Amino acid sequence: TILEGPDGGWGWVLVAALFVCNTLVFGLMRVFGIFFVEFVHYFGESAQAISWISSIGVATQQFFSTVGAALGNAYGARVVVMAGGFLTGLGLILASQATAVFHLYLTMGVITGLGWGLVFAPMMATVMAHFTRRRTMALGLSLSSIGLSAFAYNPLFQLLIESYTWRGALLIAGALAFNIIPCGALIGPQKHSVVSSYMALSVLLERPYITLVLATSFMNAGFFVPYIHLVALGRGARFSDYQAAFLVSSAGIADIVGRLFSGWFTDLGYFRMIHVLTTWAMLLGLSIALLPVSTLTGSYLVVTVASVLYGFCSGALTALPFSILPQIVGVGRVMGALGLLQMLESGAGLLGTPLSGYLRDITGEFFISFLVAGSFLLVAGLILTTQPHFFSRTDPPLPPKHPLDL
Amino acid sequence: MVPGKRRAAVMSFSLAILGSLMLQYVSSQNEPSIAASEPVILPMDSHSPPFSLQCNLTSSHSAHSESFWMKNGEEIPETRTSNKNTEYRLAKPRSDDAGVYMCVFTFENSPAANATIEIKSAPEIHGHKRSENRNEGQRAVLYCKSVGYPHPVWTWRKFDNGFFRELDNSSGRFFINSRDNYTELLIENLDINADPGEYQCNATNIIGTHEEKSILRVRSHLAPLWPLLGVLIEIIILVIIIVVYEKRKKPEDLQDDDDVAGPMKTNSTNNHKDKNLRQRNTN
Repeated sequence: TILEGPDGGWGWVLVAALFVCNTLVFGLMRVFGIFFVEFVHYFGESAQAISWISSIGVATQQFFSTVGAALGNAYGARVVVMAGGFLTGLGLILASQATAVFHLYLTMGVITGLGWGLVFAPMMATVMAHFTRRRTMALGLSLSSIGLSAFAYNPLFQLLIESYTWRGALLIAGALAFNIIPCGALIGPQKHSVVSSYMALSVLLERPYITLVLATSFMNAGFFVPYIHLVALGRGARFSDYQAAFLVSSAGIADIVGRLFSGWFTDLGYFRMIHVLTTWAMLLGLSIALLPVSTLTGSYLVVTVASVLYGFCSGALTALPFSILPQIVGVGRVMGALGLLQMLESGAGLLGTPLSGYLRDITGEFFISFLVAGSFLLVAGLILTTQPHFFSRTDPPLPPKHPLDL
Repeated sequence: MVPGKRRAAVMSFSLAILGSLMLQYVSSQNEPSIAASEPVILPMDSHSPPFSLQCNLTSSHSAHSESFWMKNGEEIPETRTSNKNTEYRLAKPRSDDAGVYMCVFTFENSPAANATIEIKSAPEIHGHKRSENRNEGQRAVLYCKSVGYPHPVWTWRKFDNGFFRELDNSSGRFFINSRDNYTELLIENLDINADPGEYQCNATNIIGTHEEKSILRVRSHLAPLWPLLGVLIEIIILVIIIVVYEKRKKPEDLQDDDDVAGPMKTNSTNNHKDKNLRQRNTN
């Protein structure tokens, strides 16, 4: 049987806290794009040099996810998340005083990235530990903040930059990021106890986990492609700029609906989570492949429907790779396994979008790159079917405690 | 004086006058004469009825070849005709139609002749920035563009204590450049205490006057510190509330000290059947 979490009460408060944390982690990551233009202008550097700022930030967050997980296991999630929040804000505040792009690499990139890394894995693991029956719903809700914050932060930061210049806007962003600290404080205080698995490296020896990592890596490679290239696909199909932008908006709304639906449906328990995950992965792959095909009809309505389908499946999928972790590695190792998962799948995520761009460059359009992205997801679904006990009706028992836990 | 000599003086005097009169007559015979319509003053509300400027070539010595119109020294396209009566029609007269108009008549064997008709109007300011935001120490440029004729005299004023008054350039940072229908006010090295406010450019000519205002805001380097402080205070308050709330509840929950909020540690996977793994609430 799965470990029981209390499923409610304080858990929902933590969901709200995770919701806020996600906006201050991934939402702020997206805002770097707005600062991009300001930096190019102010420092007179190339687009590539400025792009490194956000690349370093994202890569640092993913890489240090394991460190965050290990520290969370060792010292309790509360302290680690609060420390992570402090570092995130500190990096941004220091960045406001930068006089060279290199300073931004160090502050917005490394320090803030490190802060983000310390926040995500422990916070997610804490929420997961509080829910069993409603886990997917809880995670879906808390992850929906990422899309919402992308909508809200764009105009907000435009306004901040106009009113206070980028230095002032970074100062305020840093202060906003400090809000992670009270979110972390909401996690109950924890004692130092003897922990046998800080980073849960033992999971690397288990086939179920490896299969999941492999599958989510493929998912990562294909997942973001439509998000980034959908507008370009729309414009290539001769739609106006506004029509193309609206495709992303409609996908975004469908994403939230899909998230909530998937959370509710999965938690009903009619199907094994692994089956649900596999199904959504394959459906998402199909919907991504359908997007370029729909542009062949030339009808804006058809493409909008395809975008809505994509958004729905995308939202439905997002929380599942996380919510299935406790089943695969056991609640005791969730934090460590989550950190490792982030780190391992990050490579695929980094490669996925440039690969798509490369395919577009050599073929002249996005058709092939969308098909490839969709196929990555189908492959991920197929990999999942190789999970041990995939075809049995009930979930397998949890893996035994491994003596080699680090 | 000898009587004979007086008569001679009168006669030569009359002859001189007669001669000069005849000379004038003759020379005006040589110059073409043009009858031009009266100068126009456009009304201030820009709702003028349509009208035409007219020139008639009433007499000329040599053969007339062409006539056309010019505005402010440049030929107006598609006005060339071979008529002696030429007309330039303004169907919807507006302020920017004001200027110095000339009807020009060219001749085969003589130099061209022209007549000037002025269309005057009060100035109207069409181009200006409603507001300008700059940082401390930077330079601000406020400008105004007008239409109308004659070109106005420009003045800049600043709103201070209830009315617009002359600029105080004791700091030497203000520079005004005005030229025809354009003026700009340059403020170097913005001072956050003295410079922000409403500035007004005023265009005045013999017909009327018009003004527009622009708001100048100066951003301080310290400005973002207020929201920064606000957010920090909010965070400190939240953390205090959470910690205090917890401390007050803590004595009641001391017996549950083997429950921790967060992932389970040690032996968790083996004992899950035994322990009731209720995750601890923080209250």
